[in-house]
Amino acid sequence: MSVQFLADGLIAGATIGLGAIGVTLTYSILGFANFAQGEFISWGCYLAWGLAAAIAALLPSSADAIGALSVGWNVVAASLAAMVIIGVMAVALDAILFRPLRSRGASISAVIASFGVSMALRALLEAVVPSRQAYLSTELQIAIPLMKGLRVTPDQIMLLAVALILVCVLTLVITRTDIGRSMRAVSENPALARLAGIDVAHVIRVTWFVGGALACAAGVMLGLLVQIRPSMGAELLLPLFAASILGGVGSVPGALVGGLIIGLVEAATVQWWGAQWRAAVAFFIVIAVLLLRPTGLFGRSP
Amino acid sequence: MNASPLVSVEDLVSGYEPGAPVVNGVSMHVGHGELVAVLGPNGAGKSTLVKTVAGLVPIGAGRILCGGEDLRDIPVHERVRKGIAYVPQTDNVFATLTVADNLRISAQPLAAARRAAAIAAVCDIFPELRRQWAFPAGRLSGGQRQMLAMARALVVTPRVLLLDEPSAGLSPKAAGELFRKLSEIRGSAVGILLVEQNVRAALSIADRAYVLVEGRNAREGAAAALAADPQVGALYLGGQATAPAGGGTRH
Repeated sequence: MSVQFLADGLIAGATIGLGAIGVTLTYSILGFANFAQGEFISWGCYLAWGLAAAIAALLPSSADAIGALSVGWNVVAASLAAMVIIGVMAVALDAILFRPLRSRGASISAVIASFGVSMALRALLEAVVPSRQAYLSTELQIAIPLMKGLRVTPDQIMLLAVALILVCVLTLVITRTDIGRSMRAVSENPALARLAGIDVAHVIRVTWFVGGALACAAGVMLGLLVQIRPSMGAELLLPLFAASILGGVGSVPGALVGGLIIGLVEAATVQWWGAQWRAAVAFFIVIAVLLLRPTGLFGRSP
Repeated sequence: MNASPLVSVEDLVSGYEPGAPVVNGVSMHVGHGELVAVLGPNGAGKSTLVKTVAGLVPIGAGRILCGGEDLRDIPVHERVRKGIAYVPQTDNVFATLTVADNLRISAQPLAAARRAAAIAAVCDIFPELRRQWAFPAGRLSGGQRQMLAMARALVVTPRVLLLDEPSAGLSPKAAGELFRKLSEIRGSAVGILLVEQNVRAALSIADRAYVLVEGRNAREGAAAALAADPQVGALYLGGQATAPAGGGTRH
C-alpha cells in the first residue's frame, strides 16, 4: 500500500488550513461566513505571480533558485508584498461594503454580499489576467524519498514548514499579545469588549488584514503546486469552510488541523476510491461534524 | 452641588428609539470618593441612565460631563480611557477567557509598565481571583463573576464606576460580600454610581441617592435621610408618589 497520500494530503491540507484561518477569524469575530475568502486566494496568487515576474525583470539574478527549492528570492519578496496588498484589499472591502451592512445590523446581507463580491472579484480577475497557462515555478524538482513509498519535493517540505510557522506565530499573537486578546474578547462579546476599552473597529480591521494576508499565502502555496487559474480559490472554498468547522470556529490551530485532516482524507479518497469522490469528502465531513460535534475539535461551547 | 464633580449629568434625555425617551430630563452628579445610589421602580430609567453615561445609549438632549469634558461624541472605548467604567448587570465577564486574561484585557488601556501592578492591586481587593487565576471566567459562581467584573472595571483606576444592579441574582451571602467590597472601594478616590433594586442595602452604604420615577428626578438627598423618608417606600410600592412636573421634588 502506497503512503504517498500522506505527503500529498499534508501539503494540500496546509494550504487549506491557511485559507481557513481567515474564514474562522471572520466568522468568529464578525459573525458571518465570508464567501469571498476564496477569491483572496486567487488574487493573492496572481498578484504574487505578477510581482515576481516584475522583480525578475528588474533583477534577473533574483529569479535564481534558492538552494534545492524551485523558486528564487523574487517569489519570496513578491509573496510578502502580495500578502500585504491582499490584506489591505480585504480591509478596504470591509470599509466599503461590509462595515455599512454591519452598522445596519444586516448580517445575512453581509453573507449574500460576500457571494456577490466573490463573483465580481473572479470576473474581474478573469478579465485582467492572461488566458495562457501561468505557473509560479516551472522548475522540475526531484522528489526525495523519506521512506518506502513516500517521496516529497523540497518545495513541499518548505510549504509545510511555512504553514506551520505562520500558524505558530499567529497562535502566539492571539494568545499572548494585546491585539490577540482583543480579538478573542471581540469574538466573544463585542459590547463588553468596548466597555473594556477595546477599539472594536481596529480589531475588525486587523482581522480582515490577517485573513486576507493568510489567504494570499495559501494562494502562493497552491500556485507552487498546481497551474494558476482564476477559479483556484473558489474551488477551495468548500474545503476552507469544512476545515474551519472541523477545527472549531474561532480556533486558529483548529483551522490548520482541520485543513490537514481534510487534505489527508481527500488525498486518501483520491488514492483509494478515485478523484471523482474528492469533492464529496468535504461535504461529508461538514455534515458529520455538524451532526456529531457542532463545536468542532477545538471550538468552544456557546 | 460638589464644586468639582467627577461626572455630572445635566437635563439628560436618552432612549433606545428616537422620540421615545426613557430618561427624560435627569440631572445628577458624582463627586470624588462618593457612592451615589440611583433608585426607583422598574422602568424608571435607572439602567438606561448609566448606559447613557457609559456610551451604550445615545444622548438625545442634555449633557454628560466628565472632568468638564462633554462626552456626547466620545465612543464607548474612549470613555473607558477617560475614566468611565461600566459594569453591566449580566454578561459582564468574558466567559471563555481565563480570569487572568479578563484582567489583562481590561488593563490594556494602561501603559504596559503599569499593568502588572494594577492587576495586583485589584487582586488585593478581590483575593479570590488569584485562586481562580487560570480558570475560564465562565466557571465562576455568580458572586465571583461580579467580583471579577468589578475588578475588570477597577483595574484602569477609573474616575467613576458605574454599577448596574450588581446584586441581581446573587445569594444573600454573595450580595452581602459584594456590598462589603463596595464599601471598601468607596474609601478610594473612585466615585461610584450604583443602580440597585435592593434599596435598603444600597442606602446603607451610599452617601447620597437619587430616586427616579418615569425617567425623571423624583427625590434626591443624603442616603440616611432618604432611608428615613416614608415616601421613598411608597415609590417602590408603585404608589401614590409620582414624578412632579419640572424635574421632581428635590431635597
